[in-house]
Amino acid sequence: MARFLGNLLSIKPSEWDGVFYFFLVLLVFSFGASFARSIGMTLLVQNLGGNTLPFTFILIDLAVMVGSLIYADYTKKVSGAAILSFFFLSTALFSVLVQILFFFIVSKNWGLQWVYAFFFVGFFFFYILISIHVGSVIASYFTAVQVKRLTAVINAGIPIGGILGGTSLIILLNVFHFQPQQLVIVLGWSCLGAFILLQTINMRLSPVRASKSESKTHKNPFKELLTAFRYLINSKLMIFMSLGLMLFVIGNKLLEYEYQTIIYFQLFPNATQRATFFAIYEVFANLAWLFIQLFLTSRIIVGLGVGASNILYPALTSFAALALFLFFYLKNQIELPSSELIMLALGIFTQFINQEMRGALRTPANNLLFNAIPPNLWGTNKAFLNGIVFPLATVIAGSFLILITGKEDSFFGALDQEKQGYLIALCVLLVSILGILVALPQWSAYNQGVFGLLNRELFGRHADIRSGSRSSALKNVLEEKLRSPDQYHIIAALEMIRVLRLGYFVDQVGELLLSTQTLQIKERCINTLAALPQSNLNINYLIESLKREQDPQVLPLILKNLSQFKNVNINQQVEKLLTHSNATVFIEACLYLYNHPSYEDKFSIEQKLLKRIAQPDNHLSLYLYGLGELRQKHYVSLVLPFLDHAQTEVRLSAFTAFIRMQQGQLQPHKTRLLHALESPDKEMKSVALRALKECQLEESIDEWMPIIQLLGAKDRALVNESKELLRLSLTICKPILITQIFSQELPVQQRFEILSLIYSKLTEEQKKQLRHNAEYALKKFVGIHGILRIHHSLKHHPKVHDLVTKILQEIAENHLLHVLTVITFASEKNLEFFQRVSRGLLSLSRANQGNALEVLSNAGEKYLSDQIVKFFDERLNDLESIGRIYHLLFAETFTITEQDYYLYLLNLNHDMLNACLFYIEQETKPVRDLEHIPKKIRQLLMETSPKVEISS
Amino acid sequence: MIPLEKIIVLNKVPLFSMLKTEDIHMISTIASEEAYEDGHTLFYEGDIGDRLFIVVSGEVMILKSKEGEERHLATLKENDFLGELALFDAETRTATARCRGPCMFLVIERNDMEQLAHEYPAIAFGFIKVLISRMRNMVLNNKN
Repeated sequence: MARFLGNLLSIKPSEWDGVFYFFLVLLVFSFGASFARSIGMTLLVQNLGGNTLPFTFILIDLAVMVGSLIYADYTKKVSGAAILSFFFLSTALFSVLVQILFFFIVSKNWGLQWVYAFFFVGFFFFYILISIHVGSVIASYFTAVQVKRLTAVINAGIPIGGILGGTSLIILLNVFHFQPQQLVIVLGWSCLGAFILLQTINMRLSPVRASKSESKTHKNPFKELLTAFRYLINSKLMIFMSLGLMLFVIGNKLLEYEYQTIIYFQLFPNATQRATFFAIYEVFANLAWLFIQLFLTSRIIVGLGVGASNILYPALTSFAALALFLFFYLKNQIELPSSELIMLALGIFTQFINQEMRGALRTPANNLLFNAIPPNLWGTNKAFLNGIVFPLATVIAGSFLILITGKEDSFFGALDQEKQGYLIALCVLLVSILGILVALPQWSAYNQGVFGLLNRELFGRHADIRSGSRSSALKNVLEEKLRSPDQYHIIAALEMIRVLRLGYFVDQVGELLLSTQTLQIKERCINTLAALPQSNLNINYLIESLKREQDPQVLPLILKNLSQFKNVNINQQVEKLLTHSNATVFIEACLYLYNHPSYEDKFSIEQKLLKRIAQPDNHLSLYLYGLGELRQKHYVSLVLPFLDHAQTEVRLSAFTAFIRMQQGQLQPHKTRLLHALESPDKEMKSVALRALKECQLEESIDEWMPIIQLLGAKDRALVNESKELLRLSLTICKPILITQIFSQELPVQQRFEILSLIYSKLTEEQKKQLRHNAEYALKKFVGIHGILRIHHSLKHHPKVHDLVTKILQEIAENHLLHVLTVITFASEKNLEFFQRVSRGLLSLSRANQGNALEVLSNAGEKYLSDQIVKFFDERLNDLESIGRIYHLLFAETFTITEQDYYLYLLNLNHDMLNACLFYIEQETKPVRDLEHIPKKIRQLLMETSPKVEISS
Repeated sequence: MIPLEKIIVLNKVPLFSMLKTEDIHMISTIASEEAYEDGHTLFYEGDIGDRLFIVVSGEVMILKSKEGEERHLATLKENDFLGELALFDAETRTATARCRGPCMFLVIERNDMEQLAHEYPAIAFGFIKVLISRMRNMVLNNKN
């Protein structure tokens, strides 16, 4: 039975507890609320008259507005479940209080008529706040993907509770002849029941998304709403949600007026007839709502996605409004046959969309938009929407209705009901179309929002908005920092001046350079002066500091920066530095003079350098660098012997000098450059890559492989260099790159970088093959999860157990990243998407996983994404559950058992894993000859360095 | 110890446990094996620290001087490590470490670690993650 229901309602076995309890909470609360709603309305109209209704509505709105302010404040301090518990308890106490007051009014004839209004306003106050908040509590117990699937089933508790409550009320009133005043306590009992259920939830389940803020600093309620407003104006999603809510409320109120006052009033002028019609309508409409809620809502939301689902409701409303408009307009123009029947059908249709579809479609889809908002901001933002935007929209709709239905002296004059009918319908039509237009960008804002949540930056980035003159504030801050006694503040200010090239600070930076004794500040000052727009001022400061400076660490930096200004002639001053004892100062002075257009004795500079190279010196690499910077080809023979020097630094300088001396003519030295790519030194590789750009490489795998392999380097600069080189010769290397991407063994990073180069150039057939390979990788990923289960259950070799676990996890991770790479490119996404989704999926937090899955389900590529969503949506506790998901995803049986587990591990062909297996074997069986096993594995198993033994 | 055994030991040390096996393999290449007899003092309180010790076997007593006397603070066992901060700065040791019984260690020098982290930033990033996680726990413990 549970399996049948689970399949029917898309509930996983692990989710049953949460779904069942929250469903019960809503059902029990809705049961009591249906009593209170009917009793409240009946007693209010009966005792205070219908004309008090508008005032009570205003009172409710005001109370909710104030309540929202306080609510927003507490959502930051207290957990969502605790707030909901408080609401339930408060409502229960409130109903007890009202019940006592009603008792005295009825039995003692106390004339406390205001109690009826008090009950009506009080009940709706709590009802609205609970309705606002309960969604957040439910959402915090499920991931973004789960809540999308389960929200409809849980919310089905509301109509069921409503039906049961309504039916019970009718029976209690008509069969058992209770007075309405006696039944207020039912609300109290139901709230108490909901409270107890919530405590059970607290004991049995833990939330996956914390809605409480971790921060200890809290603002007052007004500041909270101000914060919400700031988020709103900085978050596209919140802007569209607010606009959408406003349009929805206006449309909703106008439609309600249309069917309640115009249609039904004409059709059922008698109050009893009208009440009977409503009772019948409620039963059928609630049943239809229940059906839609259970079987359609989640399928629509999962199928279309959250963003698209939010378009449906305004689309339905516009359809209803169009029908009403056409009907009333035609009715006004011509006599329509059986117009009463059409009017009734239109009334029912409109009311159903306005009332039931709101609960079945709009509310769940709209609540899911909060997936894209950080959970700790849910409360504040919901309070803002419901406490500010909602009442504002009600006022707009109310004012419009007063205008349009007013007397002859009003703005529209006296309009008959037909004219009101089509005018209001026309307005609703316009509002609904606007609603659709708002829902479209809201859709894309939602997708961006969920994506942003994976990095937790989307909102934070814009959270602190400065007001007033930004530039003057920045100027003041920088001036203050430059005067700070803390050197790091000064350095930070200098960095900012340099990056923003703020010429205004040239004097302050120059003076600081001349006065400071701190090396780091001097260095920053020189770099900043050189970066600022060229003027006599910054040059003069640099020259002046050259005159005064003694520090050999600072002098080269000044010389290097001054060499940018070719129009300055300080050659005589620099010549003196050629005799400086510091090698770096000497080299920079040489280069300054050699490159200066008005310096003539360049030969002497060359001789000085050659002399230094000829002498044994610790600064050989520096002199070789200097010689290379002269760019004289006839010195190549001098540099060549140093290419095989024992010191890495010397080798690198000689190699760089060699390349500089070739002056771009590097084609004959291609082999040497390719060979350098295999050097252990990354600088050497980087220099070689840059030099290879000057060469013409052939369509040979031997030439391109060293470059392709560098796409997987840990150093980003190397990756970018090699990628740039490949991009420049894409026409030649494309076939080799294509061959590479179809290899299953290709490391993740290499695959990603290669695809970023060639994906758009692949044929449809090749793209299909890529997806096919990715599916195979997914199969491996799931398979390794099964192996991990077997591995955990066996625990044969405790010594290597943890390491083998880690290796298997890493292999699985690589297969998953392979799939995500293909999804990224098939969905036309970028590296950021790949990184965020992979971080989210590999995170241990279920909330992050849920957000990542939600982002994936919104990506363009559907098939592989759905497979991943299905896998992560399962709780894989045992081998059986893995076998089940394996069969579900690939329609194949998972065959690996404990017996062939060892063989499977060997087949994974992983060096360290194989070394572990040999290691286990060595311990259990006689020693095997290691000479016959592959080198990489052997290296892991053979003693390399002797143990150092020291006695005490 | 063969390289694989070093990897097995390093993988069990919390300081390295968040690193990838490939990175742990790199670290194993700079980890040397050292054995000491009972009573050997690895370092004294106030010494300049430049080595990280990972206990492979045996026990190490951590002692702190107070009013001229050494007080026993803790005992470290297999897979515990000491002197991890020495990998990042050259501050003085905050306590004395002495072997209780014969001990075997894997030792990593700061210079080697710096060079490795420079070559492979992922390793440095892995350390940052571990240190942050420890800092979080400390903050949480203080709060509690």
